[in-house]
Amino acid sequence: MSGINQDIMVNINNVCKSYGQLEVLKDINFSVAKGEVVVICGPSGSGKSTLIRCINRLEKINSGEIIVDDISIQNPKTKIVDISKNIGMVFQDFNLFPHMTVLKNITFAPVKVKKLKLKEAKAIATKLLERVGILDKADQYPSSLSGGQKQRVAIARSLAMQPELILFDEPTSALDPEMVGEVLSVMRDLADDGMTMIVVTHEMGFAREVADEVIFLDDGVLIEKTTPEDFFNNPNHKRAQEFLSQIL
Amino acid sequence: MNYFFQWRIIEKYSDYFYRGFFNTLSISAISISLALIFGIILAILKRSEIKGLSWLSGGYINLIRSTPLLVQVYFVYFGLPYININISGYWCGVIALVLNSGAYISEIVRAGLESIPNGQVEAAQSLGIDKRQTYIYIILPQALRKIIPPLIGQFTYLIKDSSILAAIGIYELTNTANVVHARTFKPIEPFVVALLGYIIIVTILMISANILKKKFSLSGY
Amino acid sequence: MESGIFDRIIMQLVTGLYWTLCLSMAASILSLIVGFVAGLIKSIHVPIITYVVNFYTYIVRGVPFLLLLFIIYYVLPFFNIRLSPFIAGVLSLVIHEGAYMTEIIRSGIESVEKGQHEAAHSLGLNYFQKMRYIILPQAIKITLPPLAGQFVLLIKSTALISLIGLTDLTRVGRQLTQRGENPFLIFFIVGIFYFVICYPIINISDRLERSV
Ligand SMILES: Nc1ncnc2c1ncn2[C@@H]1O[C@H](COP(=O)(O)OP(=O)(O)O)[C@@H](O)[C@H]1O
Ligand SMILES: [Mg+2]
Repeated sequence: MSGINQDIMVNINNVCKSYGQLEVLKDINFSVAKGEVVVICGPSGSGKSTLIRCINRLEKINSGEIIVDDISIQNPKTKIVDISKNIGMVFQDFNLFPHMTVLKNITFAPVKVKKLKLKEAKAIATKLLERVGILDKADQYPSSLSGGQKQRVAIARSLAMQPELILFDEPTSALDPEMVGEVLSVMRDLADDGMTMIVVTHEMGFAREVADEVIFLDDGVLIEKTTPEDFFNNPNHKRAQEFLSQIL
Repeated sequence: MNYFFQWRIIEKYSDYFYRGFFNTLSISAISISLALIFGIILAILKRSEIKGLSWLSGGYINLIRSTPLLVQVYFVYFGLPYININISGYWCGVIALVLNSGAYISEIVRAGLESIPNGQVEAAQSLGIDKRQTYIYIILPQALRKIIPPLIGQFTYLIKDSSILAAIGIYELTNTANVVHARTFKPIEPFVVALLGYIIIVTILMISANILKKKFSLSGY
Repeated sequence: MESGIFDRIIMQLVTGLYWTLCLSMAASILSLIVGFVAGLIKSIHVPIITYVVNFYTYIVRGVPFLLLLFIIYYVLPFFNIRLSPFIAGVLSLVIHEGAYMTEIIRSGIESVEKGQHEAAHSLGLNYFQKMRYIILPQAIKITLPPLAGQFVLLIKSTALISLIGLTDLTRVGRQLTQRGENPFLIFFIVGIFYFVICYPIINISDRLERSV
C-alpha cells in the first residue's frame, strides 16, 4: 500500500530512550506515510507506550530524531503547542476532564489553544459528536458515560484540534468487552477518511483489517515492520511467533 | 448543690459577649484567609523540584505539627517584644494562628493537588494547553472541590483554637466568659453562653460544608 | 553568678516535662477506653444510648478544649467537687479526646465491609467473637493512623492545663521567661521537647497511613 512517492508524515531515526539505567527503546527506526495506519504490538513492558509518548513529547528521547510533518519533535526550540496542534492522542483510561461537560471537554482546547470562537468550536464539536454517535450526551458529565462512550468523546476531543496524526495508546484495553466494538468502529471510520494513525493495541482483528503496517516491539527493539498479512501468516521472528500464539 | 443561677448577669455583660463573639469571628476570619495564602505557598514549596525549598517547607510543617499552639503563641507574643518588635496582642494572635494553621492547610492543599491523576496533565498537554492554563482550568477546579470540605473543617478547628489567645489576654469569647466569671463569681452562665456561641458557629460551618459537598456531587462528578 | 544553661533551664524544664508526660499517659489510656466503648456503642445503634453518645460527640467537637477545661475546673467546685489542676486536666482531656477517638473507632468499625459481618454471622459467631476475631483486627489497621494523630493532638493539648496552674513543661517555660530569660530561646527549647515526643508519633502515623 505504501508507495515510494507518498509523503512522509512521521520519521523516526535511531531513537533511544532510557529511564535511568533501564534502556526502554533501543535504536528505533521507522516511518509512517500520510494516511497510513500503523499498529504497534508487543508484550507488556516492551516499550510501546513509551515509543508513542515520545512522538508527541510526553517523554523526551535521549538520542536520535523524530520528525512529524516537518516539525522536529526533540528540538528544544519546538514549542509543545505546535506539537499538540498537529498530533492528537487518545489514552487507555480516557483522561477526560471530569469537571467539564462532554461538549466543554471538546471545545475547551480549540477555544483556549487555537483561539476559535466558542460558537465555531461548538459547531465543530457538535459535528464530531454526531460522527462518533453520542450527540445526545453533549451536556452530560463524563462520570455518567459508559467506558465506550467516554473513549468516543476522547477521540472527538482530539479530533477537534484537527490534527494531522493521532496516537492511540491501547484505546480499548480499559473497556468491557461489549464496548470494544463501538470504539474500534469509530477508529475504522477515521482510517477510511484518511487519517494518519499510530495505534498501540492488542486487537489483532483491527490490525488485520485496518492496519497498513504492523510493528512488533520486543524489549525495546523493533523486531518486525511488515504488512498485516505477512505478520500474521508468516512472522519471521521467534518472539513474534510466540507473541501471536499467546494472543490469538 | 448550692448554685443560684443569675441569668441577668448575661444581660448586664451583653456588651462584653458581643465584643468577645465579634473578636473570635474576626480573628478567625482574618487568620483563615491569610493562612490559606500561606498554606498554598507552603504546599507549592513542598512540591518544588528544588530540594532545599521542599525540605525547608516540610521541616516547618513538621515542626508546627509537633508543638502546641500555646507554645507557638507564647513564642510570638513574648518573643517579638524581646527583639523590639511591638505589635498588639490581637495581631500577635493572628500571626501565631496563621503560622500554625498554614502548616495544616498546606497539607490539605497538597493532598488535593496530589489527588489529581497525572493523566489529566498529560491529556491537557496533548491538546496543547500550556502549563499555566492547565493549572487554572484543569488542576485547580478539580483540586478545589477536594480541598473545600476539609478546609471548612480546618476553619472550625481554627475558631476553636482561637480560644487559646485567652492566654495572652485577648478578649475573645472564652476569655470574655472567664472575665465575667471572675467578676461575678458565677461560672455557669457565662461559660454556657460561650459554649453556645461556639456550637452555633461550628454548626453553621458544618452544615455549609455538607451543602457544598452535596452541591459538588450533584454538579456531575 | 550565672549558673550554666543546663542547670538554669534544662533541668527546670525536665521537671515540667515529667508532669506533661504523666498527664499525657493517663489521659491517653483513659480516653482510648472511652473512645473504644463509645465507638462500639455508636456502631451498633442502640436507640437511646447511641443518641446520648451522638449528642456527646457533637457538643464536645463544637467546643474549644480550653473552654471545656475552664468549665470543669471552675464549675465543679460549686457542686462540692474539688479537683486538683492535674485531675481536672485529665478529666477534661478524657472528655474531649474521648469524643474524637469515639469517631475514629466508629468509622474504623464501619469501614469493615458488611459482607464480613454477614459472613461471621453465618458461621454462627456471637457478637463478641465476631468483634474479637473478625471485625476489630481489620478495623485496627484503618484506625491506627488517625488514632496516632489524635494522641499527638492530646499531648499538645496538655499545654493548656498550664493555664489552670499545673507546672507542666509549658508553664515552667513561662516562669523562666518571667524571670527574665530570653523568650525566643526558652520557647524554642520547650518546642524542641514537645517535638521530640510528638514527631516520632506523627512520623509513624504518616507512614501507616501511606501503607494502608
Ligand atoms: N516513568 C517511568 N520511569 C521508569 N521506568 C518506566 C517509566 N515508564 C515506563 N517505564 C518502564 O519502561 C518499560 C516500557 O514501558 P512501557 O512503554 O509502558 O511498555 P508497554 O506500553 O509496552 O507495556 C517498562 O519496563 C516500564 O517499567
Ligand atoms: Mg503501555
